[in-house]
Amino acid sequence: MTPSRFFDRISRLDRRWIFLAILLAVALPFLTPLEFRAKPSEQTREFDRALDAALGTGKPIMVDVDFGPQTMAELEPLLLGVMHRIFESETKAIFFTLMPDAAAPTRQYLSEMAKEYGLEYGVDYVFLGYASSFAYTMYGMGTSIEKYFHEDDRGTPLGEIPIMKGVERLADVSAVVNMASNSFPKFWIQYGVAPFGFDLLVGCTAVNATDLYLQTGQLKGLLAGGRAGAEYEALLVEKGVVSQTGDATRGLGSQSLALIAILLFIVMGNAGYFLGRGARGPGRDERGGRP
Amino acid sequence: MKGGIGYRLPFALMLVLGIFFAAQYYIPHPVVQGPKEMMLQWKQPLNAFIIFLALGGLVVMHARKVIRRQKRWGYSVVTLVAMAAMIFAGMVWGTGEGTVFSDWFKNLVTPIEATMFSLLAFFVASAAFRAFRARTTGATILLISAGVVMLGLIPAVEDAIPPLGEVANFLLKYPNTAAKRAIMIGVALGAISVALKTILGIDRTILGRDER
Amino acid sequence: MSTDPYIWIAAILTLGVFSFLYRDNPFFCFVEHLLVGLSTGYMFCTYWHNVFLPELVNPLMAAPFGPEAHLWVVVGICFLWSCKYVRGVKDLSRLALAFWLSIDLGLAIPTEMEAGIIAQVAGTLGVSFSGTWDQILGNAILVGGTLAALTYFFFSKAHKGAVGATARVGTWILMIGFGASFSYTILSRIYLLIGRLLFLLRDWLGIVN
Repeated sequence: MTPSRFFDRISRLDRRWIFLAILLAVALPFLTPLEFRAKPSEQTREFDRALDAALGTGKPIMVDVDFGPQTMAELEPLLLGVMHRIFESETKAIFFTLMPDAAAPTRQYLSEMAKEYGLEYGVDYVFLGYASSFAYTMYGMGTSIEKYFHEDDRGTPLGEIPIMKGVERLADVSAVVNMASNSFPKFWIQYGVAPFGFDLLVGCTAVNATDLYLQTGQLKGLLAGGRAGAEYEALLVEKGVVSQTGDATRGLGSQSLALIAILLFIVMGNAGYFLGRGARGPGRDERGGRP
Repeated sequence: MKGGIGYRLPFALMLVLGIFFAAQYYIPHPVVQGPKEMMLQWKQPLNAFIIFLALGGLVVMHARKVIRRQKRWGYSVVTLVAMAAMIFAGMVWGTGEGTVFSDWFKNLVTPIEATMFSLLAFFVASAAFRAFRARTTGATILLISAGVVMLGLIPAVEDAIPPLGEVANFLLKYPNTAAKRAIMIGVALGAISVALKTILGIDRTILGRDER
Repeated sequence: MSTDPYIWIAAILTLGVFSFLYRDNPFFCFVEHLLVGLSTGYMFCTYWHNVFLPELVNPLMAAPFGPEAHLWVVVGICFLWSCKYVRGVKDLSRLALAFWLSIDLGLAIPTEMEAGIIAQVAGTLGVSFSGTWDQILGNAILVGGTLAALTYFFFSKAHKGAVGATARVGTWILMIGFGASFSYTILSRIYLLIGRLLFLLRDWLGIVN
């Protein structure tokens, strides 16, 4: 077999071999005793400083959880890290969601946190549940929260919940933390920060990472993706908030090997394309026909 | 504008309310803010009603498949039974933590949905292998930028070659931000122009044509 | 290995979805349709309990002519929307759609202007050209790159001469941005797979701690 035919064959590899390679690249690091740690970057520390500033004001903090099962693996470590910081500092927190898929997971996380920190519902934290029409709810909450959440998730009118006393609009909380798998941070900035001006901190998937809002000051802090989750876990261990890192750090080895595998595939694909052309001759495409 | 009052009234409504909602942003007076608050509040239950209509449409579609024994009607039975079971569990036993509804979401919906999305990891690798070719200058720049950032995201490589990590961070912080900013400004200008055209009735396709 | 029946069901469903990677098969189709049914049932209950009941039904039942009597308008708009499915009165649904769209479009104008244009332009033009050499170079690229990329999107003038050269530089800046986005997209997808494999290897099989 000539080299050009070899590379041509490589470029036509059945995709199921690629799937198997990716599966092994992600699974194998879990079966080795190797441990990986992420070093908190400047952006992660900036997020933590902004969160610290919000927790130190004495006002409750608002957390908008906007991710469902689809992106749970990436955003769960970020949310749990933020929850640990909030409850460890004994700050009151108001949770809600603008995405229906996030309602059930949020109840579960809060239930686990309440057991761990001995929290009292309605006094230390509250879950307002799901509100639809996300952009207009964000805009409306700048003036009145009660008009968009008549009751909390358990059916209690907001006026009867101790933690909600004195919290009528977004200006009455120290900050809004948005954990989102979609473009909700952009809408928070457009319909919340721009008209009403409050501190917004965002945890999002790596796909939606946008530093441009940090640079303009529209965002006070940003954690983007699983890598940032691993960095934040390391920071929380450093600060003594938690005793050990979690799933985001656990996945660092797999992430590294998978990225190397994909880079190799890209190189192979290009090698197959450029070096395999000699077998086809000039002016012919990968299948041997005219393009 | 041609067409009867039935055709023109929605456009008139859109013109009045569209200008109102654009103007209220700059007018804090209660005379303007009161009606605005009221109308924004209407959006939520209206949104829920529209979702119910959509779900009803889905039920009708699958029911038709079953009644007419169309191709793959067995799967429609699965969908309808699953929907009915979930609604029964939620309406009868509630949706709180620890209920059957919550357990089914956690142990049935979550694994399937998460796994569906995790398939993207395989497909993105396959697509990168097949389609990511450095055929033009732009594609080459894209490839190099992607390669540098990907290597910078690997902790071991970042530790071994610190300048690579710094270059990756530089690319993310400056050229990437410039690109995203330009796209964002372009999108915002486009959104404003589409909104203005629709509110002013210049673009009427969104409300459909006169059927008479 | 887990003894929780729910974990076993979740694992089997996970493997069912993964079976699609080999080829489309009836098990995958079953799991797919199961998801559609369960998630639409979930949506219905969530919207009913969290939105429709507390935001419309309960306030109107508690005080039909009280301070929230304006919610009867929502009932009217819902009725108008339903007319879409009734022959002869379909046009009435366009009124409901016009109401819906006017809020979206009207509010989009000032908010996009303020958050999408003014703040971004201010952020671009307000950069500082002091500090370390990489910060100065970076900010120069930020300002120049944004202007060049915007030039690429300006189609009212032909991309020739100086405008064409600037637009080409803009294309390169956009390509760098897309390359970075591509890397982050891959990273994001890999983490989703990591989550599922951790579930299978740790929570189900117990071969990973």
